[in-house]
Amino acid sequence: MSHLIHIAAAAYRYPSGRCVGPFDLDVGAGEFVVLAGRTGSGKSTLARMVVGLAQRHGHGEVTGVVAVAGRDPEALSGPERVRTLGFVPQEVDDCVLAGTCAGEVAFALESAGLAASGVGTALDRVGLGGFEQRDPLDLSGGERQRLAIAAALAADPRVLVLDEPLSQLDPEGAHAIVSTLRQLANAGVAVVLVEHRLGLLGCADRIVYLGPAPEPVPMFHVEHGASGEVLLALRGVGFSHDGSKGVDGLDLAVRRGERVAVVGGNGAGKSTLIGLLSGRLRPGSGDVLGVTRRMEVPQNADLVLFSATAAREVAYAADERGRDPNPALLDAFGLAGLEARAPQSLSRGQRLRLAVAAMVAAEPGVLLLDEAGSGQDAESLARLFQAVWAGSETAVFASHDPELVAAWASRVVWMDGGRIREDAPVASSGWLTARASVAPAEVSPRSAGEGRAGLDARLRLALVALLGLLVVLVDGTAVLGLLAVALVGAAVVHPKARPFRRGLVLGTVLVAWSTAFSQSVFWSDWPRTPLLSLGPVTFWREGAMHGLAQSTRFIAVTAAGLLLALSTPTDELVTALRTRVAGRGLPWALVVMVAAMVRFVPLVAMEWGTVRRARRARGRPMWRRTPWAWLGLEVALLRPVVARCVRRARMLAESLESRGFDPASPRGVARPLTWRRLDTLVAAVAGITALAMVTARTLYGLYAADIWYDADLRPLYAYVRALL
Amino acid sequence: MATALGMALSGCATPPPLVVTGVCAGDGVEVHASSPVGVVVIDRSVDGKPQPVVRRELPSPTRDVFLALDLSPGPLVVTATGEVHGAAQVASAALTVPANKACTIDVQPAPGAPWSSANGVVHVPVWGREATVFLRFTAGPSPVTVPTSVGDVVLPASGSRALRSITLAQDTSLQLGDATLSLVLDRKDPGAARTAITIANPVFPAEENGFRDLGRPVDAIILPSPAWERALAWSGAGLRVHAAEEPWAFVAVPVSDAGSEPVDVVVTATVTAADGSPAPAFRPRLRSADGGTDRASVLLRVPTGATASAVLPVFLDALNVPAGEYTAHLDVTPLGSSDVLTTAALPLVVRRGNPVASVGFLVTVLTSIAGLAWIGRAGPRWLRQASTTDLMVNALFGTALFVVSSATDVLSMSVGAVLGPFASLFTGIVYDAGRTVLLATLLQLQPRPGTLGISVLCCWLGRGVLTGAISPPDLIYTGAAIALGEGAAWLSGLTRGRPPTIGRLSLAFAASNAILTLFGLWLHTILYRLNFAGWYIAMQVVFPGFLYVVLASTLALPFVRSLREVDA
Repeated sequence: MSHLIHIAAAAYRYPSGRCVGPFDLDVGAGEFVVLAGRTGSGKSTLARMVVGLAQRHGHGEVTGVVAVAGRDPEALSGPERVRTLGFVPQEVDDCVLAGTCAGEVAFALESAGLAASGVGTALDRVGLGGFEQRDPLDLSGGERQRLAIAAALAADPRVLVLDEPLSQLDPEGAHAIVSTLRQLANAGVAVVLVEHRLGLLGCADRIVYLGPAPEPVPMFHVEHGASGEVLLALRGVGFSHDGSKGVDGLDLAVRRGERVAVVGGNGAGKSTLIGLLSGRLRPGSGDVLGVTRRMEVPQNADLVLFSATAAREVAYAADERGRDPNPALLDAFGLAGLEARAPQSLSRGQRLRLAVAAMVAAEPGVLLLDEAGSGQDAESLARLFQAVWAGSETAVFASHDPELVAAWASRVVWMDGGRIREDAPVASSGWLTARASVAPAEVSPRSAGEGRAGLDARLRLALVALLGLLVVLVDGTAVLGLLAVALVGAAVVHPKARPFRRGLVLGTVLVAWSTAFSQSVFWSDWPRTPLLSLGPVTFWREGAMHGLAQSTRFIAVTAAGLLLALSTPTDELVTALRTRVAGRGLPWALVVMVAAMVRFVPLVAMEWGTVRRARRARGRPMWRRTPWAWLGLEVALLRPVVARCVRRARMLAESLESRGFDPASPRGVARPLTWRRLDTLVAAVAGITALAMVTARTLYGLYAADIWYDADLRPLYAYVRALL
Repeated sequence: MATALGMALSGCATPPPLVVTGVCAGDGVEVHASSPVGVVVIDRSVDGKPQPVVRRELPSPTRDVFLALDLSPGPLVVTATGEVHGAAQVASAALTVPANKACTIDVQPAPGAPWSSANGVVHVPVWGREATVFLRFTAGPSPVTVPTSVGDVVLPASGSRALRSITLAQDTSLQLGDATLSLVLDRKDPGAARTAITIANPVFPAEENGFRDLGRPVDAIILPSPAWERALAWSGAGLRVHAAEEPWAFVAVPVSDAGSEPVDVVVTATVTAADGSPAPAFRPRLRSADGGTDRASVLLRVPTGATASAVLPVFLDALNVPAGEYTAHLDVTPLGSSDVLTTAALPLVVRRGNPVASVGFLVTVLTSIAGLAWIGRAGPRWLRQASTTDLMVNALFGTALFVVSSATDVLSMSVGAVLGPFASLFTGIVYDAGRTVLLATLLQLQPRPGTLGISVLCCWLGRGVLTGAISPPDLIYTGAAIALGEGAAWLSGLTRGRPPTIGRLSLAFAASNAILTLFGLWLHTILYRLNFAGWYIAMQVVFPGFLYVVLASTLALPFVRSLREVDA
């Protein structure tokens, strides 16, 4: 059998000197191989060596032979790479670039110069048929993992490498994906899967252990005695992200001493429930009652780490309370010897344990863990939960893993479709019973995406730019005011603006008010009438009116931009930037940068908020600090965000390269924009109107500046003076 | 429609005959025609034969012509040629220059609004106790001395003139040479006139014909900066640059008469500064009777029950007039009296362009063009040479910058509602610290020319996609930010391999940020018509623009060093 993957004595030496390998592995076409082993055994490194990422992006050194389809994977060009190799990275959240599922899948097709017809097929393979126009950020973690697999499959690669793609999938979803992988292997694709949950992988051809095969870890069930005192309660709570997804009618009470496992399929609402319990999310309806301090370790545990060293991270809460830190805590979480390391320099598993340790050190009333066990081998997981239970009396954790739930939970809350389907003691949990005989389930598509409506994105961009120009040229307060009111009104009534409608109106009022306020102070022109004098500062009435009138410019431009952003899919706007006009266009690399920047704004904003909440939960209030200390801490809070940006950038870069991206090579546009007759009509009307206004304003400007005057143009001057 | 109909009807009817009259006046002949005429000829009849004395081809047809000529006694024939309803007509009139017309005497003021006179009796309207009458003596063909009851009037040469004023308190008869002139006082009721005469809303700025000057704003006299005016005057580029003797504009003063008889009035305008003293910059430059005074005046007959507009010139020394509030005092006095019938005050506000902001705007635009041109040339090379990781790191720092700036924007709105212009003193701490830390970190990760420029460009494009902020002012600001950021980073050595120090970071970020702050304020001043006090500009540049960034640089340095460990 010819080997599509051939690895001989391959090893990787990290900059720190640690070495993994040497490895020997041959995988033939149509073979489904699982890589297993303990945390740190080198599974992910080996997977990255197979796809050439360790060679191109690693700071360390690769030795030995790594060949894919007879070639060095590092030497493959972008189009060759995407047709040969498909790669699903460990942290798929960091690898989503496009604003729609279709756009995400099409990325690899563009690298290979293929048409977008393969998008639907790839999504169908992973059970995401009909998700084409869905925003990947609106998907659950498991759905995003499926999307990443679809993106890797898009160009029909001969080799597919997946690094823990099942970590956030519910058992049904995991079985569905494993079945898909089996089918791919049967079709001749060489599949390499890195995974801990070996119980799901009975259909694999081989399981390759890196290092010694793991021994069964004794899971012991801890008896928990709930005191009956309710620490945290939800009463009729509902929450919606943007009107399309969320939870509803949640009633739940968490009592002292309970260990509550929140379970359910991907997208069932587990993370939302954790967020509501922790206070991270504000309920749209109902009440959240809490009588104790709640602390959450989010799915992305990096976001609660902000100190310079691991030791200071764990000691932070004690320092804030003026107590001595617990020196045994790091050891309990398996972090001994790492005291002086910067938290962001630790491995993923270590960062997770450090985050939990830092939270435990703050002595929370209720500790909330969102998928805290994902990506941990059984031994690390057992150690983590032992330390958690030793440090925190009451806890709520979200998980897919029946073994973990059976071992560590006292009660199981089963989420399904945004509602609590079952709330039962672990001994009588129907969910656990059902997990005993899981069968692969078809994932039913949700609402189909909508096609393009309205104007072309290029035209929309041009219209907003044109408006920005006209607003600068026009002086007529009535025209500007009407424009501002119309645009703000349109933005306010836009369905997507619903979550921040009040903020939009308030922001508009604040802009008008603060501009009027400022201009009333600055007014030095005539006439001027004092409105109020406060010491040396006089507020002038005419200045206030002037500011009020001038603020319409900001408001009109901002509202138009907001309307553009609300009404146009980001993918279309990015594609509009990519489109060449008269043979010239922005460099592809810059456009991809813009897409990446846009893609991650919501995540970074959310993460910054998470970091701040974590600090607030573990420390003193800001007002009890000196301004200098406050500023220093604010800057320090940027560290995890920036560190995460750097790490995410590396992940994203690897993902893009594995999908054939090359900064110096041209790319196709798999899903080009289409210019229609309506666009031509609107462009013509807007162009003529703008040209007329600019001409009129220019003529008037020449007249007003004493440069040029024509008596025959008096009616035009009158028009400009009255309206513009 | 009515005009067309009239033209059609007149085309069908027989045109009226051209009628010409000639009157000896002063040192010439006044010719009056019933229709405009183009050629006027005056012949003297010598021995029954006409001898041409003067022939005038008028530049444009007119009804009234004055032809200066030697008024030797004898008969004259005036012949005028003109068109009546399209048909050429010629008309003649005879007149005789009297042999003993040694002197002509006019009662002034007469030509504009002649008083009624008949048989040597002149009716002089009197609005108060007295009236002043001017007598104008014009010599005939020879020098003459006219004995009068107000003294002898000596006219030393042919055509020479003399003026005498007489104050009348009652009816008076004057002996003027051989003639007797009776001046009969026609006493008017000032009280009734004050009630009857009113000034409606003055129109300013107006054109010479009294119509509103449509092109100029109504609430203020908005002038370019003196530097601009001087530049136009120096270069001659401005086609409408005003001569000093030319009025800057006119003010039309509608005067209404609700009384029972027409009134002759003098409408006077005087412009004063805020302290009440006449404003030198508004001093009229007239050669008339108002020449050298602070006022401009015109005569006006206001018909009974009607409104007539007096159009007064407003002179302005545009180069030297300071911005400020002025007042045009409009007085209406009856002709021949100093009693004011009614008055009105018209506020005049002078605003001037800010040359500093204009020049600053120009500098900003030029800097922006330089920045955009540079990134247009160097950017593609940077992008080609960068690894995918570098691209993504740069992009995600852009994301972080956007988040920090957006958060600060929201904060600014809230704080600005309370603190107004002083909000930036607080929000600037967060914004500048965050921005400096992020940019310094980025520059440490990718210390080469183009990193900052690409980051700024990527941020602008991303912001455009996210919020639609793609207007021309945004582009200008972005270009300037690229030029300043890259220039300062290169000067400080940060993009030339020098290790970061607080001094270098401060130079790279604080200096460029201070200038960029200034550029931003200029952009707002010119493009968004916002005003900023000088102290505010200084405050913005010094504190958030410079000092906060220096402060942030001290925070950024340890941050950058700690992040290196993560990156490794």
